[in-house]
Amino acid sequence: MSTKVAGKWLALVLAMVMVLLAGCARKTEEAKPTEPEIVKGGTLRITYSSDPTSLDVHLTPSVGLVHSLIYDTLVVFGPDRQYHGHLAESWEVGAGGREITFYLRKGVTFHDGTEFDAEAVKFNFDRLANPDLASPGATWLGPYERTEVIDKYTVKVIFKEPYSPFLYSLSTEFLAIQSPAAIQKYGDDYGQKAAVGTGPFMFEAWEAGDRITLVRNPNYKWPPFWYENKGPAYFEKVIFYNMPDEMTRLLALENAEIDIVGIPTHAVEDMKAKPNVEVYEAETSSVVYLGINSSKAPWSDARLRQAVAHIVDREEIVNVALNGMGVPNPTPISTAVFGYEPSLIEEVVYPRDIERAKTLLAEAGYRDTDGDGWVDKDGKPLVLEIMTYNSDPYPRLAEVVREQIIKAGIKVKIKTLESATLLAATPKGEHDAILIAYGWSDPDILYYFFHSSRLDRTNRVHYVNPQVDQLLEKARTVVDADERFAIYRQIQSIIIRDAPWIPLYTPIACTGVRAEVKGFKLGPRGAYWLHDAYKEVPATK
Amino acid sequence: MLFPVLVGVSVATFLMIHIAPGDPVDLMMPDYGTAEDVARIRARLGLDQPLHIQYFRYAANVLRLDFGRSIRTNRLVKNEILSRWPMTIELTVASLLVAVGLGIPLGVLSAVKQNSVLDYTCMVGALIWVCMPSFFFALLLQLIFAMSLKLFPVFGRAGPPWTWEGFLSLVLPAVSLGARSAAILARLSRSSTLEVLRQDYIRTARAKGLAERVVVYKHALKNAVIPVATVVGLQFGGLLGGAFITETIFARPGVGRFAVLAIFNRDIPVIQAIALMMAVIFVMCNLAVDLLYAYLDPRIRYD
Repeated sequence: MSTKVAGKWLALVLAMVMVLLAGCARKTEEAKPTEPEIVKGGTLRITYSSDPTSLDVHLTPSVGLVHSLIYDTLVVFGPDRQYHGHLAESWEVGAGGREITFYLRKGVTFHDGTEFDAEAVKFNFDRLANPDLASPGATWLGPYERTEVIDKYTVKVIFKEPYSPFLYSLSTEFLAIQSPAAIQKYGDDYGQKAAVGTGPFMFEAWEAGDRITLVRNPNYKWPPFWYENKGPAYFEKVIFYNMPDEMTRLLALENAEIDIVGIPTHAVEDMKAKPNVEVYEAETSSVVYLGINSSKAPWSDARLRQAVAHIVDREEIVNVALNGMGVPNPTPISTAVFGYEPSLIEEVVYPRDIERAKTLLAEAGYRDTDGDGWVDKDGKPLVLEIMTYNSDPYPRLAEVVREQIIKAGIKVKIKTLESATLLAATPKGEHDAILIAYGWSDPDILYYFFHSSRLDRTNRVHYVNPQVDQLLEKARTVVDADERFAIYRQIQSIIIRDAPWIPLYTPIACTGVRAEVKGFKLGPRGAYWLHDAYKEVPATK
Repeated sequence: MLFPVLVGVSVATFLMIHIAPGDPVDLMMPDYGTAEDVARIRARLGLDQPLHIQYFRYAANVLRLDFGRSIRTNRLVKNEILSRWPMTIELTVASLLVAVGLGIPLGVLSAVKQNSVLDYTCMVGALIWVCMPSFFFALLLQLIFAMSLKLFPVFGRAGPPWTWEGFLSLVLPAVSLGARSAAILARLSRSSTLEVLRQDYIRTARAKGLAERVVVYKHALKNAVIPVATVVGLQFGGLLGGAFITETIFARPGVGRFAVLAIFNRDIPVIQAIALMMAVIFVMCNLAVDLLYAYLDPRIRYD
């Protein structure tokens, strides 16, 4: 009886509320402005899931779209996946890679009217490198020594030793150029109440926890070369709304209250079916991997790790756990990043072969002696405890991986943890394995994951290999791209063979955009390219 | 009462944060930070000191109403909380109005019309609402009233509640947060009213020939409301806690979401300040309930 009565009750309440609100509804419709059709312009509404730490790029551990709209960088990463000049028109490498001279673009002004020049570049790099500031982004400068102003539009950056990832650093907003005058003027409030760059949008307001509003920079005429629009942005405003709940973001997109939303894998099918939403896809610079602790017995035996590498089925993982929203990738570098080398797959990646896996286990002493289906040694079964994040898609992913690994007779336990707890647990080295991801657009990141000096921080699999250490150090100092590539190829092939990491896939990022937004593009690293974008009709909220 | 509670809460929060795994500086430093960078920042924040020293330093500052700066944003915690607090109070009060305005009348009505269809529907409805998880109810509201009927926005706080847009954007969050309390209050005021209606003085009133309306609303109601008032006070605290989830779902700015984020980031000064603030409000609510009690039941003053 209860459901029937409850249904009636629900219907009754709904009916009552609807009658009460009928008046309200009419009022909202009247309140809607009857603006004429605007061909190019309007407000772009975007979401973010938590407030940025700061809009001062020297004081934030992560940068995002909002920083990229306010600031310009010296170098940009183009659609051809190459680095191109932006605020720096060109550059020359000298002194065996220890010095880079930049020739700056002329006629660029900051939002506060001051001019962009060599002094501004020097001010920014010196400030970022200043230990008193304790900037989370200081390491982006590598072995930075100093910056010399040659003349008003020429500046030379000098390193203590050659630093090959520098072009990548320059293309990130961590090394974007901020107005020195504004930083001095606002002091501690810079980055919170003010943010002044040379970018296409100017900071207007930040209501902490709620929204960040940017307005068009009417003087902007230096967009990167690939845009058709050579003048100021079409949108008059960009508003970022702080929306932590994924479901609410999707509803708001569908209801035309928001224009652009990142879509989680499980909702991609649904969103593709919506008539007013376009779904864009891009391979990310991330890799999701199973990392096995290489210093803790029994997994310190490489044969056991190799056995697991023989078992995982990446196609199945991507299809079952991710609705196909990933590219199977057995190498530690993302398919979208310099250094990715598909020829390694044929050459060194362990093919899927359960029999071979069982042979490796047997060589390491693990056989199913009691016939219970699980391999054992000295009466103890082989157990792999995998720690993973408690957020989508990791628990699902871990289940699929477990189903695969147990086929070889290895017991698998899954422990899902909040990210802070998981990351804090790894330096102790008491864990068996982690199933997590990283995102980075330069192969130099391997230094942080596999160099033995990083055991107390990011070498989370406790991998120690002097040869790899040496190669990682060398790769940082090699400026020639081909030579650099060759070194990273060698490093990757050792890591794939030793299997401290079993890389699984590179996620595909999906972005839902309202159909009325035209000219939107996704860049090669999944960046939103907005300078050609506009709305045909302004949405009324 | 307030002072020992605050000391207890501050010590407990302090210990819990430091026992919980995860380090604020680690979370702030991206993967490429070096151990020296981390040590430098930890020293700057005073996190390298022994626990008891950290605590006394913190307590001394709090006594001067200095809650420090957020580890993550370096903004003054006091300002951060003061700017968000009114929005959380706004949501909590609105949902309390929904709870009281819906729950008590329906409960009393159910008692007066005991065993009627109205009584059954109200009580079954209340049971469902008590059981329904608030995030699910919020989603239902969003789907029906925002997506299908387009009466309210899906998310956000469009302005202060006395503006039309601001009011509209407050309705769904307030209803979703208040519904559970309304259901609890309805069930409670029903049983309390039933109990009072069985009392001798009610029979006397009826015997005097008073109209049923007068009996119920003049004689019974005031007494029936006493236990309900206690619960209303406690519900306020519960709603304040529930506001954390509602703010997240409806993307409304407020102290709740700020707190949740602070916990994820192990932003110690922020977590401590919010815990203290909540403790103060809880104690204040209890005090208010006690005072209300004395007002509703004059005998309590002589105890």
